[in-house]
Amino acid sequence: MSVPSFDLPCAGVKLDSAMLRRARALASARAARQGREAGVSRGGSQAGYEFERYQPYYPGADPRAIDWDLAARDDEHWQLRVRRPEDGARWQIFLDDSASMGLGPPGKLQAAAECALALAWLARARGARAELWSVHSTPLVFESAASASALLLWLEALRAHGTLADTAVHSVLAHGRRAQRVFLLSDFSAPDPLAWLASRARGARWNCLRLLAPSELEAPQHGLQRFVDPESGEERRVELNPQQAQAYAERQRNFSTRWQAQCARARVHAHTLSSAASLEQRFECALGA
Amino acid sequence: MLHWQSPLLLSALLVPLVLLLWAARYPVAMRQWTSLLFLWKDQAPSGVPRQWRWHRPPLALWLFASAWLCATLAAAGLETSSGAAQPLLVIADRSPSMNFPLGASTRYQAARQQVVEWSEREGVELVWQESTQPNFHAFDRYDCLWLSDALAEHPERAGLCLSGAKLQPGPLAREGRGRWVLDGNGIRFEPDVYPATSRQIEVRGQLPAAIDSLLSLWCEEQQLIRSERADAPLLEVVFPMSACALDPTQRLNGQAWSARVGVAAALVQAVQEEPLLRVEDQAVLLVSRGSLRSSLCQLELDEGASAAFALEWAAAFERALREPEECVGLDERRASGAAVFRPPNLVGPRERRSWVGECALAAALLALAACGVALRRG
Repeated sequence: MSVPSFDLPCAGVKLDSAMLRRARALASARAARQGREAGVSRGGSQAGYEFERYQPYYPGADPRAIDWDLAARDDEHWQLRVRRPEDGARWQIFLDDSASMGLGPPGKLQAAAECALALAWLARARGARAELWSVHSTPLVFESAASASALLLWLEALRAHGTLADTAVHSVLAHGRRAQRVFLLSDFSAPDPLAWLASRARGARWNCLRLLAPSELEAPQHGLQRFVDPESGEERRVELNPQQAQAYAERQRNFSTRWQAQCARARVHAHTLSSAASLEQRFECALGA
Repeated sequence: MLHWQSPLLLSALLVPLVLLLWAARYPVAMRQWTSLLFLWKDQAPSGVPRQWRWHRPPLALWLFASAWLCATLAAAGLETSSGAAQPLLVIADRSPSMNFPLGASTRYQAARQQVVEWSEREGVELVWQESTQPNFHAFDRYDCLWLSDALAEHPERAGLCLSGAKLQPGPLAREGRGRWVLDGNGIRFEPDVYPATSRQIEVRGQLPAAIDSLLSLWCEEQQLIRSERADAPLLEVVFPMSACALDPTQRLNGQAWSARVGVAAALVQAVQEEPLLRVEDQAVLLVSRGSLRSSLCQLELDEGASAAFALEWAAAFERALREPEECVGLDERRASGAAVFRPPNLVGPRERRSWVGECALAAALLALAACGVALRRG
């Protein structure tokens, strides 16, 4: 089947040094906050941590590090959870670059790319290796600040086009079976987005950020509208009135709620956001906050 | 008041009108991209455009139609003028050549008809001023129109209507009993054309003896018949009805002669009459075409001035003598130009204001806005 080609309103990605600084600051602040919450300091520098071992409680220890489950079973020998940096951990960041991500403004792919940039910097701050994947690009591994320019180039080379076949997504996600964390940045407009969750490896933490354009969240108020799917070219003509527009908004909210509930049942953090949301919001939602 | 440089271009206004009507009948659906098309699947598809319903055309089309309107106004050369329309003064040439035939009418009638039709079409009031020798250059104004058959110099400001002047063969001038005629090959003389009845001059009143004898000699030389009452005379000579005494204080001075005269009641000069002789600033000899009037009732020539006196009075008689109706001068019978009609600008250029620039600018801005709206709506 031939795939229709459209001149989409926000097909490309544009990043600059200001965005890079903003993403780094965001990631650093997040890493520092998680470090403080872990209750362990490494010579003043804060970084990402994961559970390593237990050690006996000592007076003055951060009470947030106490494993209260163990304390409930043995209230005389409290144990502290000792965390260590996530050195060697793998994070897989998947960006949907299908045609539907070219909608906007603000562009959904642009919003996803900015979020991926911040996530990649967070992975680096926590000593993890970030692998960035998309269906239409070769993957990129981001491990050090030296490859920041390569990361920017990779993101800016993304262009929303084509369709997002389930098989392609499964193939991409299969490469991330050994990843500790998987971030899916998409509008989940695939025929069966929940089927992607089948690729999830045991023990991996998945976070889904569903990005929609403002025009998808709210329908136009009135007039003859031609709704077009940028991936299939399929269209539907509807003569809208304000009641129908309101009904659409309701259907859209119900669908999002249902989708999030299904993700929750599969132990996957999922959020739906507008592409007009701030980078901070997108970043926090992508992390499952 | 609106004026157009190219009013035919206003027909382009039909284009946006048709587009708006079409858009109102068949609305253009706005394209909305969505990745949630399935949420619209259960909505009733819009079949309504096929029904006879009117819709409000999209904003982009309104902007485009407005841009087209402004561009059309600019192309048509929109100009405005203030003040009410003023009447047009037509300076009409009524010289003999204007009576030459032109088609089914005469040169004058053809030109006048063209001006009248134009004025009715434009709603312009006409004021006519006719003369056998019009002074056109005194009326080179925006509120005037020159009407003639041919003119060597065209007006700068006034309108112009020339009937055109082709070669018109025919009699040129009378000489004795015959006449000179212009035909296709040249000028020839036709003898014995005019009988005595058509060569009459009418003399009324008591002529001073010197003038009376001179007139008789001049008539003999011109082969004219002198009478006291004639039908259609070539010249009317009118002197006071009764003789009077010489006035020693009054002298009449010619170019090389002088005389003592007696003057009757002062003459009232008509518009077409020209004074040739005066006594103490009072005209005593008035001539016009076909007429010679004098208030001299006595005249006594000074010594040695009879030849100059005869020459000057003979010249006055010849100046007043008119040609027969059919005789028209060679200048007027020659071909001297094609028909021209140039309507006048009833309002001078300083009083007009052109809106071409403003309309073009508005068209450009509206077109940009239409593009912007169209792109934004996808």
